[in-house]
Amino acid sequence: MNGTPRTPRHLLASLLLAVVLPAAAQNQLGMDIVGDDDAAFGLLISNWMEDEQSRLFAPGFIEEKPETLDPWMLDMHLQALDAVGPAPRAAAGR
Amino acid sequence: MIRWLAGLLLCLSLHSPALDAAGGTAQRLESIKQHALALNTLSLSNPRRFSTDTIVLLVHGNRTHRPRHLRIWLNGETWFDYHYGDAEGRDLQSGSSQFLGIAPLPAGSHTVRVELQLEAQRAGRPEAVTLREQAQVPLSAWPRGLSIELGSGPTGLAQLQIRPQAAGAQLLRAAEHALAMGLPGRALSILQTLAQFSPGLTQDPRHTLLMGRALRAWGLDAAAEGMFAQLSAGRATDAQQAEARLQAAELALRQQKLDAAQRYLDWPDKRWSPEQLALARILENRLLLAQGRVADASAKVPEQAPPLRIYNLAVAMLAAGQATAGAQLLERIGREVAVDAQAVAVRDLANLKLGYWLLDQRQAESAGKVFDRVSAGSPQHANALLGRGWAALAALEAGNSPDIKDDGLRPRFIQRIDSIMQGMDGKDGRRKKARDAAILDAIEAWSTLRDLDPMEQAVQEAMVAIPYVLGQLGQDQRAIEYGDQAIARLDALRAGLSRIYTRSIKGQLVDAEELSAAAWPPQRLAWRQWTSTTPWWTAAVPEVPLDAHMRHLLTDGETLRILHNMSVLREAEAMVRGAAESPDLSLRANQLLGRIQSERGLQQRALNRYIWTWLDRHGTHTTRYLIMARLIVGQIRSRQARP
Repeated sequence: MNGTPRTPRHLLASLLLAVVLPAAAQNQLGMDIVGDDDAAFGLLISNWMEDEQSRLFAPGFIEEKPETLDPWMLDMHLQALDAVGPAPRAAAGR
Repeated sequence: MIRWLAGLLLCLSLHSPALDAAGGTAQRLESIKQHALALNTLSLSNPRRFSTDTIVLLVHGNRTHRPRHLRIWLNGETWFDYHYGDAEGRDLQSGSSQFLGIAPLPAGSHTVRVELQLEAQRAGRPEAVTLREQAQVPLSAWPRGLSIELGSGPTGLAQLQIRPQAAGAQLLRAAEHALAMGLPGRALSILQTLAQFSPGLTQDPRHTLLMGRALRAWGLDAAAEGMFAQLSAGRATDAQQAEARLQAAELALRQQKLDAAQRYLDWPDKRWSPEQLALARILENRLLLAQGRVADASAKVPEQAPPLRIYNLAVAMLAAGQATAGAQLLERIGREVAVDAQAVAVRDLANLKLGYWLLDQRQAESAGKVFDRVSAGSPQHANALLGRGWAALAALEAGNSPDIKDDGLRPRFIQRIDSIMQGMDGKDGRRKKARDAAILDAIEAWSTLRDLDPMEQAVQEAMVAIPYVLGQLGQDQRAIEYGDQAIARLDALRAGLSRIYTRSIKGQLVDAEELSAAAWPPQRLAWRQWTSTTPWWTAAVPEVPLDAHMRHLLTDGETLRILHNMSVLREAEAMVRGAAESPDLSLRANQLLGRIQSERGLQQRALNRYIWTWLDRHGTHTTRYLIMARLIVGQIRSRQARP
């Protein structure tokens, strides 16, 4: 993973990662780490998401900031959607 | 007019800083376009070049029949064989003309045979009609034209005629058709050719407006602005002057030429139509914002203003700190009845952006209602559903713990879920009931996303948020079911993206020239063969097909820009190939052809690099969500395993 600590806060998160990951989660990840602390769960997640957007309010990564629309590009985008056809979709309720 | 344009373009091209390959993409392309147009103008003014050539047009004057297929034989040899797309056929049916090309027909008599397949509606059903015509056509000196004219006979039946002429007005319509079909380079070339047939028509304001629009669509903003500026001061109708002023002002604003924009908008007579007045008001406000006169800008724009322009004004207002005014404009667009696909797209986007802005302002209830206005099936729908779920949770939080401190360590949506769970320990039955209802509301919105393509980030986030919320509620079994499904899909996607990345390194995934030549501008289902139609994520053991990413990549703005650049290069090449036939221009034309070829390589390499970055970015995001899903499931299992 690209998780090199860059700030004291991230360093703290990395240290916590090494001691608090639950055993079952450790198995899921295939990592050799011991410890258990539910309260620190968020820290672990944060450690894996080291970029500026990881701490945004909902949603986690998606940032919906308005940007100026170019009419030509919008038309091309709509035509491109038409050119690739309807998106595949699972039957409802699966 | 044409000589003026040639002079301007030559002047621009000679002073272009991008005559070598070291310039930026935009500069290099601009230089190529300027040179191609200038060479085309010069070659058209040399009659020797056309000693053996004839312009051929299809003049469509029948509103009940739509062209499907056209074949033309000249002196027994097939010269033209073309299948019409829906959009192209519709535009021709409305009374357009089509420039078919320059045929190798010198002065003299020639045998011309035409077969035109048409489609008409009879009692609500499509009916195929094939018309055939043959004629011995006498052609005189250059400029020579040949028209295939589709009209209506006395009984209303479609009728074909072959005439040895091409009128300037027909060429003007052919240029309009090319522009409407997204081929501005061809439109410019036709307008330049028109000068040979009807020199007087080039002084017509309709010609100048069309030239300005085509230059703008071809990305030559300065030349387009020059055209419109000329018309705004010349002899034209009020409507034409008004359009020219608005177009010039918008181009000047785009180029940050604020004084020029001010001049175009300062029209002493102000004879705007209601629609033009609305657009002028919007441009005036954008100018005020660009000038830093934020307090003077107003969100009050007339009703007739187009939604896209209002949207852009709203964005400018938000960026300038006029958040309330910007949000009001978004709200206005978001409630409008949309009349076409573009208006629907702008309305959906306005509602999405407004919804997230309201979430940031802690107006969760309003945000939820705004998200509900986004059309099902629109490209914004997945993000709107995700926002809808967050709005349901945030509404609960607003009455619970309004001050959530960002501890800077957890993703904020996890913090938000945690904060809602805290302080709801079950002692207060009413609050617990409200909490459960809000969570169910959120899960309902997010659950819909499970049916959609996990390549979309909103889908990935919902797949992870659902088990986290359920786990916090103590519904461990359901949380594990959702979590396991998320892990299976995200794991498969991660492996699939990795395979696609490896394949992209070994060889190019998308041949930009092939794709652009197949259909540019994009046409209905024209790229279907390159995209996956399988909902791979629903399989018991999901496996990502190697073309799973193509739908997302082909509708991405940067990919579209590069495909468009390829189309521009093709149009420029067609112009320069004509000029290369003139002995005195061949050296320069061949040099330019070399640059065009080299630019194609640069564009393809830019696309390859973009695809690698795109795959890497999606791979990283998928990995992060996968880790979150594994942690969530692992934590719940760990909790269950405790004595």
